[in-house]
Amino acid sequence: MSKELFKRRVQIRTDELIRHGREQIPRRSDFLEWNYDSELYAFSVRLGENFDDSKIREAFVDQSHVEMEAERHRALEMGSEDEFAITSNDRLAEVGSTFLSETLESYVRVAFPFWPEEGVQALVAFLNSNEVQAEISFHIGTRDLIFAKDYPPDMPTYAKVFRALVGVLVESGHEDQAKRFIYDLVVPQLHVQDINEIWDIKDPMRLLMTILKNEGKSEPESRLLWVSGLDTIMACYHVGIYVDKELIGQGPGESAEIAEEMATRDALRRMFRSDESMPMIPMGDYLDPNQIKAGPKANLSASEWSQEKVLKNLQTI
Amino acid sequence: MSKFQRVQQWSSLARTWWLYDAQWQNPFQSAKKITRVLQGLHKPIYSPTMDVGDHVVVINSQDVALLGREWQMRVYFHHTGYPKTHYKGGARWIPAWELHSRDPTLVLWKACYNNLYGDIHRKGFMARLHVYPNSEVPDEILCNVSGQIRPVKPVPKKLEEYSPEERQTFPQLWDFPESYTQR
Repeated sequence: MSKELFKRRVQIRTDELIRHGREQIPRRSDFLEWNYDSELYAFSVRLGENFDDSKIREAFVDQSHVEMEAERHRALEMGSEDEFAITSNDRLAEVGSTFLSETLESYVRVAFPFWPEEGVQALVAFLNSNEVQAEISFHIGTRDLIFAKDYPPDMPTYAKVFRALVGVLVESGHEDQAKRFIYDLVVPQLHVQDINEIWDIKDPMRLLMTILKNEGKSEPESRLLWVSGLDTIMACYHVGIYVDKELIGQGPGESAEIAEEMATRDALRRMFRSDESMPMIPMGDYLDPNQIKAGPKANLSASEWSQEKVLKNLQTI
Repeated sequence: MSKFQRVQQWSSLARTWWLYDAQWQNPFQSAKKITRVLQGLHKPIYSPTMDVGDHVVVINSQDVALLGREWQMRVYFHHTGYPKTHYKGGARWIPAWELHSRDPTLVLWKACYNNLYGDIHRKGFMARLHVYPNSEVPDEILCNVSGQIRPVKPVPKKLEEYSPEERQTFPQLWDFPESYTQR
């Protein structure tokens, strides 16, 4: 017990020192028995991918490392700079980034056919963000393989390496493999996320009115369904949105305004088929990559969205 | 926490206010229903460590109905505070009818109080019970109410509440003979 407590105390002190920059975390590669080649091999085998050997080495080299090495080369006066040749992963990351955007776009359009294009773009931007891709990159074990100035690498470096890895697969001609790689690693990041939160609708009432106008329906009417504890600090209002005497959405809130806004958002998410009873997001075994083979055209934009048009588009595909 | 989750939580943890009409109801059977709501036992999110009970506004408590001779036989105890050395001491036992005549809300209130487990939470639960002797409830209380608890027994109609036509057309088992004298 006391041993365990002592260990924890040391751990806390070390963390503190690292936070203040007084102590460096030792790089795994500084240790004697480090073998980069076997680590690289193990990395590919763990993921079950056939990375091209020369290209995957390039994918892990960050621009900061290239600059650092060039500086050292110059300081040591080891000959002309032409002899010094390390390529950074900039090019591969760009190839991977383009491929990622295209693949994710076509995936989201197939997975959420009822979503307007603005929402699709928001979801793609979320999946393409540095935070999400750095998380994936860290968890597939790139930390010790990355060549960068800082250790542990910072978030953009992690994300860039992940894009470069996709770029390696694309450049090696394994496009299907690259797609599967993205479906298996990037798409599951939507799990647990509230997708209605990722696409933040700025003015839901205006959007709802536009859509109802497109569908040729009358204007929405907000009605108070019930209130509880009106005179207390825990007042709860429930507002419903009616169109042609039909309830299309309802929401609670601590004031009538908030409840009305939530009811509008509820009506919209019901229209876009992303409410609580939505079908499962296709991923893992439930995702058929052949379905997403043909690059579908863009979804309807929010200003011209109507359920009829979406259903008609779905039939033609 | 997303917007929807936030309001969902607000909605599920908001306290609902219930109305209970105690007209001609057994206070002890009513107390079982009322304390369930006070403790939040009717909610799927109930947990003994969570304070999820609702408010109950009881009206017409002066018209509660006790069974048989219970008004005379049921005795409520209180202590005036005088010591035993004083004449007869301070302990007092008063029958239910006398308690009811002093304060017509107390029989139902005490029924609820005694039906709750006597721990630290009881005061908090009882603070959410509002008993009124008749149907005159202050507006600031009544405006909170958004639901009604079904009474234990349906309230029967009085004979004078039936119209003369309804009384005439009421099915009779036999016809009285002409010579029969009705008072």
